[in-house]
Amino acid sequence: MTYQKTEIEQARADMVKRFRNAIRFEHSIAADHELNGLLPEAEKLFNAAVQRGELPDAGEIWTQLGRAALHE
Amino acid sequence: MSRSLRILDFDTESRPLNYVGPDFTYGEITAIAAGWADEEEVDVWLLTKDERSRARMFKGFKKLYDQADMVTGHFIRSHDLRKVNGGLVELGLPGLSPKLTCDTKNDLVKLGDVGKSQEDLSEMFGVEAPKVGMSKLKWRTANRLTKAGIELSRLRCVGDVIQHKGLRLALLERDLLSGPKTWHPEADR
Repeated sequence: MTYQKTEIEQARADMVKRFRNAIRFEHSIAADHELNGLLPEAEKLFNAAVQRGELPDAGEIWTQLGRAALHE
Repeated sequence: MSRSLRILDFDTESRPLNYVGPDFTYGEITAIAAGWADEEEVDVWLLTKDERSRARMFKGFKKLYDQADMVTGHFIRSHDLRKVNGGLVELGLPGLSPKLTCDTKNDLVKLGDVGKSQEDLSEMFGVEAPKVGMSKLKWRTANRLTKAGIELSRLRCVGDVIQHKGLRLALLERDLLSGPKTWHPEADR
């Protein structure tokens, strides 16, 4: 059952939320940069496979990009 | 796990039918040629003076179209696909479904000062299958649907598909085509 937080409990919860958001945001920006490099190349490989008459598996493209196994 | 895709290379020939403006006509398709990109054979359907040939032509092509994962040709998204769709609908047949396309004119990288017709590009890249030249007189003969005329349409249409198969590969080798795009028959797409 929820209860009304005291001022101190609210301040602690605020801090935790702000820190979570800050760390996630930092990683999110870094992820955008990494994807900016990776996705155009991935699409290029995908389109080239289609033009050769193959529908490629995403894991195969991932490997072609030099990555270790694709974890999902 | 990857799977193989069926790519259909096709082309159409048309003749004018009615005036829309003083210098502009609507036409109808007189020939459709199509062949799988990884096969040498090219099928062709021809409009003749037999009225049944129209439906045979469109139905024959649509059967292959429906089997294809992607269709390819020169300027097909702006020209051939909508003409085929119009022909099907005019006959009271179901129209074309959306389809992934490789259009070697619309997907060509921006090039200034060079001809972008299939003939020009094929010559530029040394594509071996020659375009079957059609003078105005030959077009008039072809469009009269005489036996000799129909043969001209057949040679031209099949020749275009053979040439296009080579052209598409030449453009891909040189990285001159952007990625395949889906053609949508819907009005707002």
